Amino acid sequence: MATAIKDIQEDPRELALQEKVATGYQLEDVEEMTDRYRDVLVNTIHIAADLEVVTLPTYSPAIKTSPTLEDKISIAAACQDELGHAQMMYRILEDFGYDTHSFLFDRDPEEWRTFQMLEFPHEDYIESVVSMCYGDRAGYITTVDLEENCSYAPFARSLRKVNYEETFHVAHGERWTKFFWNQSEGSRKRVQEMVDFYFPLCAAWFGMPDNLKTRTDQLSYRIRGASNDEMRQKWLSRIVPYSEGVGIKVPAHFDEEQGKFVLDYEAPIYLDEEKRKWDYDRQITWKEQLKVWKKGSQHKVPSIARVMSEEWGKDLW
Amino acid sequence: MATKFKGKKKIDQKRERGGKEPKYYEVFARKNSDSELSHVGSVEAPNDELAQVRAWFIYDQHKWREMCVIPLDSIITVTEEGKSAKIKMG
Repeated sequence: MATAIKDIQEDPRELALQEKVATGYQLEDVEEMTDRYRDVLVNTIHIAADLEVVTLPTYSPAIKTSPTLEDKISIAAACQDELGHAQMMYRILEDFGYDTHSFLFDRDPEEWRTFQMLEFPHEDYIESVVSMCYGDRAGYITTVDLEENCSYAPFARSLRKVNYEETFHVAHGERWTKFFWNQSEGSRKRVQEMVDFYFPLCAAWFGMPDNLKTRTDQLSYRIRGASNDEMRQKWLSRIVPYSEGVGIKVPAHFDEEQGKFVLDYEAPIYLDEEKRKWDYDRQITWKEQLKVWKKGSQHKVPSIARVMSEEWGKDLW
Repeated sequence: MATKFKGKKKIDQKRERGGKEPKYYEVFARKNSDSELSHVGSVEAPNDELAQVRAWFIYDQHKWREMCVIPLDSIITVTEEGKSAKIKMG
């Protein structure tokens, strides 16, 4: 096996393409791709598409519980945006032999590639706006990186609209998180509770630390421009000053000595899924963390099954 | 391990896709009378009517002054002579 991997790494066509994209060259055509480029690109878009779609069952409970008609509309509009983003990704994936209908409706929900941050159905509107404020900000940082750096031009171009719309979700989240922080003692408590829950989920959105990562094809083929740690740093540099400005407590701060933002806890940490509570003092191993991510939360399968079955029933169609 | 669940949506391939092979359209739009008619994206649809609807709903980032869809098959390539048009997404 080891020899096989070495062979691919030393394949002159693979190396030539890596050098070409390193100079800023963008591909327009599937025919220009090498096998390994194609694999890492398709994998990236595949996960991005799954992540767009799982926002629907995650956000939808908040449509029912949000306080005013405007809030309901804004949540529904965000869901519509996310599905639109998925549609564009499916359109690209079809050029690589994917069948959108079976991809969406025939796949076993357990096979979906989702991230923990988007797996917990929102219990109320405050959870939605905190999730938009911290989570959509994290998502936005990854999609902006892809738009700016992805060497497959059609994907990079398609993300212009995606990022344009994500800015609305983030702005919506920041505005209302601040509003509920100042509205009442009860709403402030709920905001803090939700930030305590979402912060480690969002910090983990960017994946493992760079020094532990073994697969680096996304960077060597310039599918992405920034590494996990660079993107996490970018997220912290936005989210920590925002939170401090509002008064929300977050488990991270700017470290003067290192000249960068650092987490106040040692990731990965243990999550009590039932209580939605992190034990900031209980560190788990990366092996355990990867197992948790791979399995998904208890909500993952029911949520995706709900998208596939459409709760309204077949009469809708 | 396969997950069993009830009420799975049945896809009527003929009705929703018009057949087994997907058909693609490229979407062009302009924001106002002074701006260029630009390519904004791509949709898959079984017929022209659904292509119009899908384009309007997916690419809803602006209140377009003008939008049109063009079947990908109808695009004649100049820079890639002899090849079919490539994906024009975005």
